[in-house]
Amino acid sequence: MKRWCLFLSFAFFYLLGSVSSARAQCDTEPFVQEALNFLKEKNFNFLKSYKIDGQRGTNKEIEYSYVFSTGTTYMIFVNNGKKNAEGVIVTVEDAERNEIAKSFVGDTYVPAVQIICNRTGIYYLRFTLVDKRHDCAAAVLGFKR
Amino acid sequence: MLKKYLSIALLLSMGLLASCGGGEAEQQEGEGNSQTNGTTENTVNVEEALQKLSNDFTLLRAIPSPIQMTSLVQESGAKYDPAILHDANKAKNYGSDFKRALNVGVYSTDLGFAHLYGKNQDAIDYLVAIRDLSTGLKVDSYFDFERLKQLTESNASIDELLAETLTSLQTMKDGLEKENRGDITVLVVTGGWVEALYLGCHVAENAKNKQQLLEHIADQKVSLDNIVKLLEDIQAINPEAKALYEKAKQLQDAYANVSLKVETISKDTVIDGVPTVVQEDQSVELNFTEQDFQKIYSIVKEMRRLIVE
Repeated sequence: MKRWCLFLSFAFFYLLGSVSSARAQCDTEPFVQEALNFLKEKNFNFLKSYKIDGQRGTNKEIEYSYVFSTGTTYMIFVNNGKKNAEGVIVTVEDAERNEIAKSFVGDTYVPAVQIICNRTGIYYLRFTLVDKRHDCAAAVLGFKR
Repeated sequence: MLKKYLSIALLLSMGLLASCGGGEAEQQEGEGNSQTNGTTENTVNVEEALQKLSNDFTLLRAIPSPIQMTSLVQESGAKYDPAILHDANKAKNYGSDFKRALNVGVYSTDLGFAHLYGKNQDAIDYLVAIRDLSTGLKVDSYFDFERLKQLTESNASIDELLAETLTSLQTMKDGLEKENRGDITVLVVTGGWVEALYLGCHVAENAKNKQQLLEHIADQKVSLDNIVKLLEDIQAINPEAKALYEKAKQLQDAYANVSLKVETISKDTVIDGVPTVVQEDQSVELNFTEQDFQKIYSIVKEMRRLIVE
């Protein structure tokens, strides 16, 4: 009997561990799908998607870079399941680290920013996670000419 | 009694860890010619190179998608010419992971190009080629080929098919990075980039309206610097990359005099409800002679030959 109790306790804690780790995972797939629909509505072609996982407050900022090309319009759309992607801010900086766009205007969140690029170079996309309760998000980058 | 169960749990954990290690060994074996021999020194070098590559992955993520170049080719008014694309039937000829990975990139660019022109049968042929090479590379699990085929056959919108393909490719790249097979990702991206540049140069050579194409070809100088650094990293992992690296260095030399300087002023506005930054160009200065172009095109052709032959 004692053996069975120990075995069941072991199995229970093992299962509990699996469930809690699965829940803690950040699944961005549904966010990406919604973001793709947004790009499509705006007549943008999909280029890249980014996973933004704050890991419950562990990561406050996540940065990616991309080469933007002259004569191309780029759109970055952020989706964390909240209206206007509240809690996530994307800041776009040029190669000299000058801020050129931000998805937080005044005191309002906006889900997307676009850049009509006329200067080729590396651009930095920095995602700042303000609200750790909603720090699992996806962003997509689209382009049109 | 408790000690006994803890011992069993410990043994089970060790068993699991060992089986994970075995998987890794199999994976490295699967990489075939990624590693030449099993000496400790070489293993250390390869591990160091993989670590360096992992640190340099930001360079890889910054390389633009080939679809930008191919859409420009279409906009230039060029007619669809299947002869300039790679032959999908050659996919089965590639026996090394090095060549498979490079040609997954080449075929992905060609797939996007064929679909842009509405050539669905060609696009399906490229999908099949990518599937076969992906199976050889053991990365086919990242693709839903049935869905891709359905999208192609059903004449789905270009956005839908390309989004699905590009998403799958990106999932594959992310997955390979986690699997410590970043060298494969670099080769896929390099293959796609070279093919796009080849198509751009081929069309620009005879296009009447080629200014935008030339500007975009000149722009590739930024990405080329990243490609060269990444190929330098993977030489230590895969000696087959040496010839390609050397050609990329030659291409860098050919680009030395090419420059595109654009002075811009940024203005904030709102377009279609989205806050927008408009970089208005004040002056554009493109230094790109016909001689530079011919030199670049010639080296790109050689790079492509190294990849597809």
